[in-house]
Amino acid sequence: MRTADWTDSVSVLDRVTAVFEAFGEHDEGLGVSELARRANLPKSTVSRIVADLVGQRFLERDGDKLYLGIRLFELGQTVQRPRELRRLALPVMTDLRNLTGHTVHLAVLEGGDIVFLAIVRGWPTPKPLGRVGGRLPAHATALGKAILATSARDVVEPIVNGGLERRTPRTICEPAALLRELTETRRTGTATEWEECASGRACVASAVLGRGAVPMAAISVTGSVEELSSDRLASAVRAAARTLSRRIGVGRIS
Amino acid sequence: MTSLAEWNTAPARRAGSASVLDRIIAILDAVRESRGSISITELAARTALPKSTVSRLVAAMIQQRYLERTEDGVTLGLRLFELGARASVPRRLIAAAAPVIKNLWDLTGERVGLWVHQGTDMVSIAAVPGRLPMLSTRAGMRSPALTTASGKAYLAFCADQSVVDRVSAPLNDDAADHFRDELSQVRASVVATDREVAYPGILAVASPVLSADHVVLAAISIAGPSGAMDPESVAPLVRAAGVTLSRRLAAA
Repeated sequence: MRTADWTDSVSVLDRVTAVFEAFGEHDEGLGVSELARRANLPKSTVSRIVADLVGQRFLERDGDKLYLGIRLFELGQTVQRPRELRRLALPVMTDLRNLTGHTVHLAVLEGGDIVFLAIVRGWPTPKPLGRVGGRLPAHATALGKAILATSARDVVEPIVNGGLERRTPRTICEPAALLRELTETRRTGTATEWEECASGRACVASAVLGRGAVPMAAISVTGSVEELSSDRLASAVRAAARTLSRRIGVGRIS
Repeated sequence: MTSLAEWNTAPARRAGSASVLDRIIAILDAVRESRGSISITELAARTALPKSTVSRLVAAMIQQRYLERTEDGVTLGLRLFELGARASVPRRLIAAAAPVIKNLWDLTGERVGLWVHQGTDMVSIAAVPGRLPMLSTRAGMRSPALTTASGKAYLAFCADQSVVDRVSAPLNDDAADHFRDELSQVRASVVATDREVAYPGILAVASPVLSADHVVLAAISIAGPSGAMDPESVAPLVRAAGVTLSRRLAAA
Protein backbone atom coordinates (compact mmCIF):
# COMPACT_ATOMS: atom_id res chain seq x y z
CA MET A 1 0.00 0.00 0.00
CA ARG A 2 2.71 2.40 1.04
CA THR A 3 4.84 1.48 -1.97
CA ALA A 4 1.95 2.01 -4.36
CA ASP A 5 1.21 5.35 -2.76
CA TRP A 6 4.82 6.43 -3.10
CA THR A 7 4.99 5.43 -6.76
CA ASP A 8 1.80 7.36 -7.41
CA SER A 9 3.11 10.52 -5.81
CA VAL A 10 6.22 10.43 -7.92
CA SER A 11 4.35 9.65 -11.11
CA VAL A 12 1.90 12.49 -10.52
CA LEU A 13 4.81 14.87 -10.09
CA ASP A 14 6.57 13.39 -13.14
CA ARG A 15 3.51 13.99 -15.28
CA VAL A 16 3.01 17.52 -14.00
CA THR A 17 6.67 18.26 -14.80
CA ALA A 18 6.33 16.72 -18.26
CA VAL A 19 3.35 18.99 -18.94
CA PHE A 20 5.11 22.13 -17.65
CA GLU A 21 8.27 21.40 -19.61
CA ALA A 22 6.28 20.81 -22.80
CA PHE A 23 5.79 24.57 -22.98
CA GLY A 24 8.53 26.30 -24.94
CA GLU A 25 10.74 29.22 -24.02
CA HIS A 26 8.28 31.71 -25.44
CA ASP A 27 4.74 32.54 -24.57
CA GLU A 28 3.15 29.99 -26.84
CA GLY A 29 -0.27 28.45 -26.40
CA LEU A 30 -0.61 24.70 -26.87
CA GLY A 31 -3.66 22.53 -27.45
CA VAL A 32 -4.16 19.36 -25.39
CA SER A 33 -3.12 17.11 -28.32
CA GLU A 34 0.15 18.98 -28.88
CA LEU A 35 0.79 19.04 -25.14
CA ALA A 36 0.22 15.26 -24.94
CA ARG A 37 2.55 14.69 -27.89
CA ARG A 38 5.34 16.82 -26.40
CA ALA A 39 4.90 15.42 -22.88
CA ASN A 40 4.77 11.90 -24.29
CA LEU A 41 1.63 11.09 -22.30
CA PRO A 42 -1.82 9.79 -23.30
CA LYS A 43 -4.20 12.58 -24.27
CA SER A 44 -6.77 11.45 -21.68
CA THR A 45 -4.16 11.69 -18.92
CA VAL A 46 -3.09 15.13 -20.07
CA SER A 47 -6.72 16.31 -20.18
CA ARG A 48 -7.17 15.36 -16.52
CA ILE A 49 -3.88 16.91 -15.42
CA VAL A 50 -4.67 20.07 -17.34
CA ALA A 51 -8.13 20.39 -15.79
CA ASP A 52 -6.62 20.19 -12.29
CA LEU A 53 -3.75 22.55 -13.09
CA VAL A 54 -6.13 25.09 -14.67
CA GLY A 55 -8.32 24.85 -11.57
CA GLN A 56 -5.29 25.71 -9.46
CA ARG A 57 -4.12 28.50 -11.82
CA PHE A 58 -0.86 26.71 -12.63
CA LEU A 59 -2.04 26.66 -16.23
CA GLU A 60 -4.54 28.88 -17.92
CA ARG A 61 -6.91 28.19 -20.74
CA ASP A 62 -7.71 30.66 -23.49
CA GLY A 63 -10.10 29.11 -26.02
CA ASP A 64 -8.59 25.72 -26.78
CA LYS A 65 -5.03 26.87 -26.09
CA LEU A 66 -3.22 26.39 -22.78
CA TYR A 67 -0.52 28.59 -21.30
CA LEU A 68 1.73 28.52 -18.23
CA GLY A 69 -0.31 30.24 -15.54
CA ILE A 70 -0.01 33.18 -13.25
CA ARG A 71 0.55 31.05 -10.14
CA LEU A 72 3.86 29.88 -11.58
CA PHE A 73 4.78 33.52 -12.08
CA GLU A 74 3.89 34.26 -8.46
CA LEU A 75 5.88 31.31 -7.12
CA GLY A 76 8.78 32.14 -9.43
CA GLN A 77 8.98 35.63 -7.96
CA THR A 78 9.49 34.29 -4.45
CA VAL A 79 12.19 31.68 -5.07
CA GLN A 80 14.81 32.71 -2.56
CA ARG A 81 18.15 31.87 -4.16
CA PRO A 82 17.70 33.92 -7.35
CA ARG A 83 15.95 36.65 -5.42
CA GLU A 84 18.75 37.05 -2.88
CA LEU A 85 21.48 36.75 -5.52
CA ARG A 86 19.72 39.36 -7.66
CA ARG A 87 19.36 41.71 -4.70
CA LEU A 88 23.08 41.48 -3.92
CA ALA A 89 24.21 41.43 -7.55
CA LEU A 90 22.19 44.19 -9.22
CA PRO A 91 24.21 47.15 -7.85
CA VAL A 92 27.47 45.37 -8.76
CA MET A 93 26.10 44.50 -12.21
CA THR A 94 24.97 48.08 -12.79
CA ASP A 95 28.44 49.39 -11.84
CA LEU A 96 30.06 46.91 -14.22
CA ARG A 97 27.68 47.95 -17.00
CA ASN A 98 28.41 51.64 -16.33
CA LEU A 99 32.15 50.95 -16.34
CA THR A 100 32.19 48.91 -19.54
CA GLY A 101 29.01 49.90 -21.37
CA HIS A 102 28.38 46.23 -22.12
CA THR A 103 25.48 43.97 -21.22
CA VAL A 104 26.09 42.22 -17.88
CA HIS A 105 24.71 38.77 -17.03
CA LEU A 106 24.38 36.80 -13.80
CA ALA A 107 23.84 33.05 -14.03
CA VAL A 108 23.95 29.89 -11.92
CA LEU A 109 24.73 26.30 -12.86
CA GLU A 110 21.81 23.82 -13.00
CA GLY A 111 22.84 20.39 -14.21
CA GLY A 112 24.78 20.90 -17.41
CA ASP A 113 23.20 24.27 -18.14
CA ILE A 114 23.47 27.78 -16.89
CA VAL A 115 20.28 29.62 -15.91
CA PHE A 116 20.23 33.42 -16.23
CA LEU A 117 19.15 35.14 -13.00
CA ALA A 118 19.60 38.77 -13.98
CA ILE A 119 20.53 40.84 -17.01
CA VAL A 120 21.54 44.52 -17.06
CA ARG A 121 21.45 45.74 -20.64
CA GLY A 122 24.42 47.60 -22.11
CA TRP A 123 24.22 50.66 -24.34
CA PRO A 124 25.12 49.08 -27.63
CA THR A 125 22.53 46.37 -27.16
CA PRO A 126 22.99 43.50 -29.53
CA LYS A 127 20.09 41.12 -29.86
CA PRO A 128 19.90 39.61 -26.37
CA LEU A 129 20.96 35.98 -26.32
CA GLY A 130 19.75 35.21 -22.85
CA ARG A 131 16.57 36.05 -21.00
CA VAL A 132 15.99 35.85 -17.28
CA GLY A 133 15.05 32.27 -16.45
CA GLY A 134 16.47 31.01 -19.76
CA ARG A 135 19.14 28.32 -20.17
CA LEU A 136 22.26 27.78 -22.25
CA PRO A 137 24.69 24.83 -22.17
CA ALA A 138 27.41 25.53 -19.58
CA HIS A 139 30.36 24.29 -21.68
CA ALA A 140 29.52 26.67 -24.53
CA THR A 141 29.42 29.81 -22.36
CA ALA A 142 32.01 31.84 -20.43
CA LEU A 143 29.55 31.94 -17.49
CA GLY A 144 29.33 28.14 -17.43
CA LYS A 145 33.08 27.65 -17.80
CA ALA A 146 33.78 30.13 -14.98
CA ILE A 147 31.52 28.12 -12.66
CA LEU A 148 32.79 24.71 -13.80
CA ALA A 149 36.42 25.82 -13.35
CA THR A 150 35.77 26.44 -9.65
CA SER A 151 33.43 23.47 -9.07
CA ALA A 152 34.20 20.16 -7.39
CA ARG A 153 35.22 17.23 -9.57
CA ASP A 154 31.96 15.34 -8.92
CA VAL A 155 30.05 18.31 -10.39
CA VAL A 156 32.32 18.77 -13.41
CA GLU A 157 32.95 15.19 -14.53
CA PRO A 158 29.39 14.13 -15.37
CA ILE A 159 28.96 17.30 -17.42
CA VAL A 160 32.26 17.04 -19.29
CA ASN A 161 31.73 13.34 -19.99
CA GLY A 162 27.99 13.59 -20.60
CA GLY A 163 28.25 14.69 -24.23
CA LEU A 164 29.05 18.30 -25.19
CA GLU A 165 26.55 19.74 -27.63
CA ARG A 166 27.90 21.75 -30.57
CA ARG A 167 26.37 25.23 -30.88
CA THR A 168 28.82 26.78 -33.37
CA PRO A 169 31.97 25.57 -35.17
CA ARG A 170 33.94 27.02 -32.23
CA THR A 171 32.12 25.26 -29.38
CA ILE A 172 34.53 23.14 -27.35
CA CYS A 173 33.07 19.64 -27.64
CA GLU A 174 36.17 17.59 -26.77
CA PRO A 175 36.24 16.66 -23.04
CA ALA A 176 40.04 16.91 -22.86
CA ALA A 177 40.05 20.33 -24.54
CA LEU A 178 37.34 21.57 -22.18
CA LEU A 179 39.30 20.38 -19.13
CA ARG A 180 42.40 22.22 -20.43
CA GLU A 181 40.27 25.33 -20.87
CA LEU A 182 38.98 25.00 -17.29
CA THR A 183 42.56 24.73 -15.98
CA GLU A 184 43.44 27.91 -17.85
CA THR A 185 40.32 29.61 -16.45
CA ARG A 186 41.38 28.68 -12.92
CA ARG A 187 44.83 30.15 -13.59
CA THR A 188 43.58 33.50 -14.90
CA GLY A 189 40.39 33.82 -12.84
CA THR A 190 38.35 34.61 -15.97
CA ALA A 191 36.64 32.45 -18.54
CA THR A 192 36.27 33.67 -22.09
CA GLU A 193 33.89 32.73 -24.87
CA TRP A 194 34.68 33.61 -28.49
CA GLU A 195 31.81 32.65 -30.79
CA GLU A 196 31.45 29.34 -28.95
CA CYS A 197 27.77 29.87 -28.21
CA ALA A 198 26.67 32.18 -31.01
CA SER A 199 28.64 33.49 -33.96
CA GLY A 200 29.82 37.07 -33.68
CA ARG A 201 29.41 37.11 -29.91
CA ALA A 202 32.02 37.17 -27.17
CA CYS A 203 31.80 37.02 -23.41
CA VAL A 204 34.15 37.32 -20.42
CA ALA A 205 33.05 35.83 -17.09
CA SER A 206 34.29 35.24 -13.58
CA ALA A 207 32.95 33.01 -10.81
CA VAL A 208 31.24 34.38 -7.70
CA LEU A 209 32.33 32.36 -4.69
CA GLY A 210 30.48 31.70 -1.45
CA ARG A 211 31.59 30.12 1.78
CA GLY A 212 34.40 27.57 1.36
CA ALA A 213 35.15 29.02 -2.11
CA VAL A 214 32.12 27.16 -3.50
CA PRO A 215 30.93 28.80 -6.74
CA MET A 216 27.48 30.35 -6.28
CA ALA A 217 27.11 32.02 -9.68
CA ALA A 218 29.11 33.79 -12.38
CA ILE A 219 29.02 37.34 -13.66
CA SER A 220 29.91 38.33 -17.24
CA VAL A 221 30.08 41.09 -19.82
CA THR A 222 28.88 40.28 -23.32
CA GLY A 223 29.28 42.01 -26.65
CA SER A 224 30.25 41.49 -30.24
CA VAL A 225 33.72 40.03 -30.93
CA GLU A 226 34.84 43.42 -32.28
CA GLU A 227 33.76 45.27 -29.13
CA LEU A 228 35.19 42.94 -26.54
CA SER A 229 38.89 43.31 -25.86
CA SER A 230 39.29 40.56 -23.33
CA ASP A 231 42.34 41.95 -21.47
CA ARG A 232 40.81 45.29 -20.69
CA LEU A 233 37.54 43.79 -19.54
CA ALA A 234 38.90 40.77 -17.68
CA SER A 235 40.14 42.76 -14.69
CA ALA A 236 36.84 44.67 -14.43
CA VAL A 237 34.86 41.42 -14.48
CA ARG A 238 37.15 39.80 -11.89
CA ALA A 239 36.82 42.83 -9.62
CA ALA A 240 33.01 42.71 -9.92
CA ALA A 241 33.00 38.98 -9.11
CA ARG A 242 35.19 39.59 -6.04
CA THR A 243 32.91 42.42 -4.85
CA LEU A 244 29.86 40.22 -5.24
CA SER A 245 31.59 37.31 -3.47
CA ARG A 246 32.24 39.64 -0.53
CA ARG A 247 28.64 40.88 -0.51
CA ILE A 248 27.44 37.25 -0.46
CA GLY A 249 29.82 36.48 2.42
CA VAL A 250 28.26 39.33 4.40
CA GLY A 251 24.74 38.50 3.22
CA ARG A 252 25.25 34.85 4.25
CA ILE A 253 23.35 33.10 1.45
CA SER A 254 23.89 29.39 1.73
CA MET B 1 -5.13 2.78 -6.12
CA THR B 2 -4.17 3.31 -9.74
CA SER B 3 -2.24 6.45 -10.39
CA LEU B 4 -4.65 7.69 -13.03
CA ALA B 5 -7.46 7.60 -10.51
CA GLU B 6 -5.56 10.23 -8.57
CA TRP B 7 -6.70 12.73 -11.16
CA ASN B 8 -10.37 11.94 -10.64
CA THR B 9 -10.57 12.55 -6.96
CA ALA B 10 -13.41 15.04 -6.85
CA PRO B 11 -15.66 12.75 -4.74
CA ALA B 12 -12.72 11.69 -2.57
CA ARG B 13 -11.79 15.30 -2.07
CA ARG B 14 -15.25 16.05 -0.75
CA ALA B 15 -14.74 13.19 1.65
CA GLY B 16 -11.64 14.99 2.93
CA SER B 17 -8.85 13.02 1.30
CA ALA B 18 -6.72 15.33 -0.80
CA SER B 19 -5.23 14.29 -4.14
CA VAL B 20 -1.49 14.07 -4.62
CA LEU B 21 -1.57 17.32 -6.58
CA ASP B 22 -3.40 19.09 -3.76
CA ARG B 23 -0.73 17.90 -1.33
CA ILE B 24 2.08 19.06 -3.61
CA ILE B 25 0.43 22.46 -3.90
CA ALA B 26 -0.14 22.64 -0.14
CA ILE B 27 3.58 22.00 0.38
CA LEU B 28 4.58 24.63 -2.20
CA ASP B 29 2.29 27.19 -0.55
CA ALA B 30 3.63 26.43 2.92
CA VAL B 31 7.23 26.76 1.73
CA ARG B 32 6.38 30.01 -0.05
CA GLU B 33 4.68 31.42 3.03
CA SER B 34 7.75 30.62 5.12
CA ARG B 35 9.56 33.27 3.03
CA GLY B 36 12.78 31.30 3.26
CA SER B 37 13.33 27.79 4.41
CA ILE B 38 11.14 25.51 6.48
CA SER B 39 11.77 22.16 8.17
CA ILE B 40 9.90 18.95 7.34
CA THR B 41 8.33 18.92 10.81
CA GLU B 42 7.09 22.47 10.39
CA LEU B 43 5.83 21.65 6.87
CA ALA B 44 3.86 18.70 8.22
CA ALA B 45 2.31 20.95 10.87
CA ARG B 46 1.42 23.71 8.41
CA THR B 47 -0.08 21.38 5.79
CA ALA B 48 -1.77 19.06 8.32
CA LEU B 49 -0.26 16.11 6.45
CA PRO B 50 1.52 13.10 8.01
CA LYS B 51 5.25 13.70 8.32
CA SER B 52 5.99 10.53 6.31
CA THR B 53 3.87 11.81 3.42
CA VAL B 54 5.58 15.20 3.52
CA SER B 55 9.03 13.54 3.55
CA ARG B 56 8.21 11.41 0.51
CA LEU B 57 6.76 14.27 -1.50
CA VAL B 58 9.53 16.67 -0.52
CA ALA B 59 12.18 14.15 -1.63
CA ALA B 60 10.51 13.86 -5.04
CA MET B 61 10.09 17.64 -5.29
CA ILE B 62 13.78 18.19 -4.48
CA GLN B 63 14.76 15.65 -7.10
CA GLN B 64 12.69 17.52 -9.67
CA ARG B 65 14.04 20.89 -8.49
CA TYR B 66 10.72 22.33 -7.28
CA LEU B 67 12.40 22.52 -3.88
CA GLU B 68 16.01 22.87 -2.73
CA ARG B 69 17.59 21.65 0.48
CA THR B 70 18.96 24.28 2.86
CA GLU B 71 20.81 24.03 6.17
CA ASP B 72 17.58 24.07 8.14
CA GLY B 73 15.04 22.53 5.78
CA VAL B 74 13.82 23.25 2.26
CA THR B 75 13.20 26.34 0.14
CA LEU B 76 11.57 26.90 -3.27
CA GLY B 77 13.69 25.54 -6.14
CA LEU B 78 15.05 27.02 -9.31
CA ARG B 79 12.63 25.15 -11.57
CA LEU B 80 9.84 27.40 -10.27
CA PHE B 81 11.96 30.45 -11.06
CA GLU B 82 12.47 29.16 -14.61
CA LEU B 83 8.80 28.26 -15.15
CA GLY B 84 7.67 31.54 -13.61
CA ALA B 85 9.87 33.50 -15.99
CA ARG B 86 8.15 31.72 -18.91
CA ALA B 87 4.60 32.20 -17.65
CA SER B 88 2.58 34.44 -19.88
CA VAL B 89 1.64 37.38 -17.72
CA PRO B 90 1.40 40.18 -20.30
CA ARG B 91 -0.84 38.17 -22.65
CA ARG B 92 -3.15 37.27 -19.83
CA LEU B 93 -3.17 40.82 -18.51
CA ILE B 94 -4.05 42.28 -21.89
CA ALA B 95 -6.99 39.91 -22.25
CA ALA B 96 -8.33 40.70 -18.78
CA ALA B 97 -7.64 44.42 -19.12
CA ALA B 98 -9.33 45.15 -22.45
CA PRO B 99 -12.84 45.89 -21.03
CA VAL B 100 -11.37 47.74 -18.02
CA ILE B 101 -9.27 49.99 -20.25
CA LYS B 102 -12.25 50.67 -22.50
CA ASN B 103 -14.47 51.53 -19.54
CA LEU B 104 -11.91 53.95 -18.10
CA TRP B 105 -11.52 55.57 -21.51
CA ASP B 106 -15.33 55.84 -21.91
CA LEU B 107 -15.56 57.58 -18.54
CA THR B 108 -12.73 60.06 -19.08
CA GLY B 109 -11.73 60.25 -22.75
CA GLU B 110 -8.12 60.40 -21.60
CA ARG B 111 -5.16 58.24 -22.59
CA VAL B 112 -5.32 54.93 -20.71
CA GLY B 113 -2.32 52.61 -20.51
CA LEU B 114 -1.36 49.26 -19.02
CA TRP B 115 2.29 48.91 -18.01
CA VAL B 116 4.54 46.10 -16.82
CA HIS B 117 7.91 46.53 -15.12
CA GLN B 118 11.22 45.69 -16.78
CA GLY B 119 14.59 46.64 -15.29
CA THR B 120 14.42 50.38 -14.50
CA ASP B 121 11.56 51.01 -16.94
CA MET B 122 7.86 50.50 -17.27
CA VAL B 123 6.93 48.96 -20.62
CA SER B 124 3.57 49.63 -22.26
CA ILE B 125 1.61 46.49 -23.14
CA ALA B 126 -1.68 48.16 -24.10
CA ALA B 127 -2.84 51.75 -24.55
CA VAL B 128 -5.68 53.80 -26.03
CA PRO B 129 -5.06 57.41 -27.10
CA GLY B 130 -6.78 60.31 -25.36
CA ARG B 131 -6.13 64.00 -25.75
CA LEU B 132 -2.37 63.48 -26.04
CA PRO B 133 -1.65 62.75 -29.70
CA MET B 134 2.09 63.30 -29.15
CA LEU B 135 2.30 60.43 -26.68
CA SER B 136 2.85 57.09 -28.41
CA THR B 137 0.38 54.28 -27.78
CA ARG B 138 2.76 51.72 -29.28
CA ALA B 139 3.11 48.53 -27.23
CA GLY B 140 6.70 48.20 -26.06
CA MET B 141 7.08 51.94 -25.39
CA ARG B 142 9.32 52.49 -22.37
CA SER B 143 9.06 55.08 -19.61
CA PRO B 144 11.27 55.46 -16.56
CA ALA B 145 9.82 53.66 -13.52
CA LEU B 146 11.34 56.25 -11.19
CA THR B 147 9.26 59.22 -12.30
CA THR B 148 6.10 57.92 -13.96
CA ALA B 149 2.81 57.36 -12.15
CA SER B 150 2.72 53.75 -13.38
CA GLY B 151 6.27 53.15 -12.14
CA LYS B 152 5.51 54.53 -8.69
CA ALA B 153 2.24 52.57 -8.48
CA TYR B 154 4.15 49.39 -9.33
CA LEU B 155 7.12 50.01 -7.03
CA ALA B 156 4.95 50.93 -4.04
CA PHE B 157 3.50 47.40 -4.10
CA CYS B 158 6.61 45.55 -5.25
CA ALA B 159 7.72 43.07 -2.56
CA ASP B 160 11.16 42.69 -4.12
CA GLN B 161 13.25 45.40 -2.47
CA SER B 162 16.09 44.87 -4.97
CA VAL B 163 13.81 46.12 -7.75
CA VAL B 164 12.98 49.30 -5.81
CA ASP B 165 16.64 49.81 -4.88
CA ARG B 166 17.80 49.47 -8.45
CA VAL B 167 15.25 51.95 -9.80
CA SER B 168 15.97 54.49 -7.04
CA ALA B 169 19.77 54.01 -7.19
CA PRO B 170 20.38 57.34 -9.03
CA LEU B 171 18.76 59.34 -6.18
CA ASN B 172 20.85 61.10 -3.53
CA ASP B 173 19.99 60.53 0.14
CA ASP B 174 17.43 63.33 0.43
CA ALA B 175 15.72 62.41 -2.81
CA ALA B 176 15.71 58.72 -1.80
CA ASP B 177 14.00 59.59 1.51
CA HIS B 178 11.45 61.66 -0.36
CA PHE B 179 10.88 58.79 -2.80
CA ARG B 180 10.33 56.31 0.06
CA ASP B 181 7.79 58.68 1.61
CA GLU B 182 6.02 59.03 -1.69
CA LEU B 183 5.80 55.24 -2.09
CA SER B 184 4.31 54.98 1.44
CA GLN B 185 1.66 57.50 0.44
CA VAL B 186 0.98 55.49 -2.72
CA ARG B 187 0.54 52.34 -0.60
CA ALA B 188 -1.96 54.22 1.59
CA SER B 189 -3.98 55.83 -1.22
CA VAL B 190 -3.45 53.05 -3.83
CA VAL B 191 -2.86 55.72 -6.49
CA ALA B 192 0.35 57.32 -7.71
CA THR B 193 0.54 60.68 -9.45
CA ASP B 194 3.10 62.22 -11.75
CA ARG B 195 2.78 65.95 -12.30
CA GLU B 196 4.86 66.75 -15.37
CA VAL B 197 8.07 65.15 -14.07
CA ALA B 198 8.28 62.31 -16.59
CA TYR B 199 6.75 64.27 -19.48
CA PRO B 200 6.37 68.09 -19.58
CA GLY B 201 2.75 69.25 -19.72
CA ILE B 202 1.39 65.81 -18.88
CA LEU B 203 -0.32 64.71 -15.72
CA ALA B 204 -0.71 61.01 -15.01
CA VAL B 205 -2.43 58.96 -12.31
CA ALA B 206 -1.90 55.20 -11.89
CA SER B 207 -2.96 52.30 -9.69
CA PRO B 208 -1.40 48.83 -9.25
CA VAL B 209 -2.77 45.56 -10.66
CA LEU B 210 -2.34 42.68 -8.21
CA SER B 211 -2.63 38.92 -8.54
CA ALA B 212 -4.85 36.80 -6.30
CA ASP B 213 -1.84 36.34 -4.01
CA HIS B 214 -1.19 40.09 -3.89
CA VAL B 215 1.85 40.00 -6.14
CA VAL B 216 2.02 43.22 -8.16
CA LEU B 217 1.82 42.43 -11.88
CA ALA B 218 1.34 45.75 -13.61
CA ALA B 219 -0.02 49.29 -13.31
CA ILE B 220 -2.96 50.90 -15.07
CA SER B 221 -2.62 54.61 -15.77
CA ILE B 222 -4.48 57.56 -17.15
CA ALA B 223 -2.67 60.55 -18.67
CA GLY B 224 -4.00 63.93 -19.76
CA PRO B 225 -2.97 67.53 -20.29
CA SER B 226 -1.76 69.10 -17.05
CA GLY B 227 -4.28 71.74 -15.97
CA ALA B 228 -7.08 70.24 -18.06
CA MET B 229 -7.38 66.93 -16.19
CA ASP B 230 -8.20 66.98 -12.49
CA PRO B 231 -6.14 64.37 -10.62
CA GLU B 232 -8.57 64.37 -7.68
CA SER B 233 -11.53 63.41 -9.82
CA VAL B 234 -9.77 60.75 -11.91
CA ALA B 235 -7.98 59.11 -8.95
CA PRO B 236 -11.03 57.12 -7.73
CA LEU B 237 -11.71 55.96 -11.30
CA VAL B 238 -8.14 54.73 -11.78
CA ARG B 239 -8.17 53.03 -8.37
CA ALA B 240 -11.45 51.31 -9.23
CA ALA B 241 -10.00 50.19 -12.59
CA GLY B 242 -6.98 48.67 -10.81
CA VAL B 243 -9.22 46.85 -8.33
CA THR B 244 -11.56 45.60 -11.08
CA LEU B 245 -8.65 44.31 -13.16
CA SER B 246 -7.09 42.60 -10.12
CA ARG B 247 -10.45 40.91 -9.41
CA ARG B 248 -10.85 39.82 -13.03
CA LEU B 249 -7.40 38.21 -12.90
CA ALA B 250 -8.18 36.39 -9.66
CA ALA B 251 -11.53 35.15 -10.94
CA ALA B 252 -10.33 33.97 -14.35
